[in-house]
Amino acid sequence: MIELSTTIAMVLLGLAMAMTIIRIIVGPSLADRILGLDLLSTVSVAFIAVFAIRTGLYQNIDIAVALTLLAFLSTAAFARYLLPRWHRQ
Amino acid sequence: MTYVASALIVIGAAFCALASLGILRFPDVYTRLHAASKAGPLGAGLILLAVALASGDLATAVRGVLGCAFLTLTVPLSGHLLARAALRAGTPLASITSINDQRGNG
Amino acid sequence: MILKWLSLFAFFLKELVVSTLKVAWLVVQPRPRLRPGIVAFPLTVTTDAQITLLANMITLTPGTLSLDVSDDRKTLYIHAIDIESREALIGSIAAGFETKVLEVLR
Repeated sequence: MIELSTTIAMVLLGLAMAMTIIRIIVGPSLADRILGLDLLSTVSVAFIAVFAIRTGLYQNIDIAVALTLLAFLSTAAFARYLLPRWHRQ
Repeated sequence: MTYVASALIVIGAAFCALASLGILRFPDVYTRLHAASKAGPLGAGLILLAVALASGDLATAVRGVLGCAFLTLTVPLSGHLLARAALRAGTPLASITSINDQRGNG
Repeated sequence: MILKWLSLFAFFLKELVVSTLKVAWLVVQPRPRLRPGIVAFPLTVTTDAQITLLANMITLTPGTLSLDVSDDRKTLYIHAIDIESREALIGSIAAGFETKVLEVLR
């Protein structure tokens, strides 16, 4: 049961990653690319969690939680970089 | 327990896929942020809850629930930061935008 | 006090699920009917904590995303993905989240 559901989930998450990467490449503005990176890390967290369930190596959850933190901080830093005031100084 | 966890995994993965599809289909940054900052954390959060259910170990379950709570708190926050920065940087709105109360540029 | 926080939390969870389903429905439609726009929301909450909580909650209500607070801290700019009318949107936020936030943080 777990085997089947994790297989389906991994296919879906792989498709999600592919679509996000298309948006990062195409993205007309810088904000689009930052958004794509943010969603890519969220999908990666989900992927690591599915991997942990499938293999039974639950230590991987620590990596997922740390990646959540990192994703928030990096998006916040990119958003600061996007602000026009930042460039003028 | 296994069945509930399996259902949570598939539903969560479907929400993640929908968020990515939304990012690909919507017309401008702000509408894309709607898709990414709602469906994304809910999908990943459901999968982390499934980990908490499937592990059968208290330490892992606490980490899963903690990760889920952290995700639902931080992703909307970063979405808001990004929307504000995009608005101030003058990222254009889609042409179908109907109402705009924002005067000038920030 | 704790009961009011719990009530706010339950309301928040319900809104998160509803908003995600709404956005997911918009994504899977073959021709999504989007009417995005930016609406100025007159704030009655005053302190930093209240504004922060309200802005975060608005990001998770169905189809709305808080963008920016004006310099005099009297208006909150909200981006909505599907606007029926400006008055209906402002009314629903003022009646739902703002009163609940005021109950908790006074």
